[in-house]
Amino acid sequence: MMNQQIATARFGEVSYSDEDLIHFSKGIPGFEKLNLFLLIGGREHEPFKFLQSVDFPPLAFPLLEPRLIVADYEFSPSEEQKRELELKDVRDALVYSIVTLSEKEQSANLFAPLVINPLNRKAAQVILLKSGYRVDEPLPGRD
Amino acid sequence: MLVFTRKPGESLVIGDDIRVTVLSVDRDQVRIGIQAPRQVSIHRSEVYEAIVAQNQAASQSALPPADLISRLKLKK
Repeated sequence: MMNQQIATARFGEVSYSDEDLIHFSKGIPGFEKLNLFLLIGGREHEPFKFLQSVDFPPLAFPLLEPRLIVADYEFSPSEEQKRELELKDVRDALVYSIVTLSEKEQSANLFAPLVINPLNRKAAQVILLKSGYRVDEPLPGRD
Repeated sequence: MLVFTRKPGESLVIGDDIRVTVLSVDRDQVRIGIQAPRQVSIHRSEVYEAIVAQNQAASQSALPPADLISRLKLKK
């Protein structure tokens, strides 16, 4: 497998090979034409990880595991959502919330998590319509 | 935008396999039925647009600040 590189805005040169690529066949809402991403994360940002676009290197999203924000977070996709990712067992899925970090907002999207099937590297942003979760759940704040 | 006028019970067909039917009209509300292959996702536009807006905001995110990282590490 050839090692390829992209020049990213936040993380410098990132090397990867084909097996690292995560495939969003429908992109993600707002970025429907971007299909190839990498999941990256250095120790200095833990527990944050990042979804880094390969098609468009300036683009990256911070991610957090939803259970860090809501301890009893329930990921219950529909049968069709599981089918889209060929996900046989929900427990196999890697589930991350896209995080928004700005001067006025620190929140995580628990309503529509990113879901990766590590067995085939297929991924999608899965809308949990009946969950009652928010698109902008506040992160733990300063007391 | 393509605009049609339909009466209750009338439909539109989109592509080969999507059918939109006006079921009933009641003052200021329309009940709409949609038949589509199960892999086509269909959402109220405000739901989809809320996710688009949040993704766009998230794409502009700053790197996580140190104090937030500390608070989150305490949760693990």
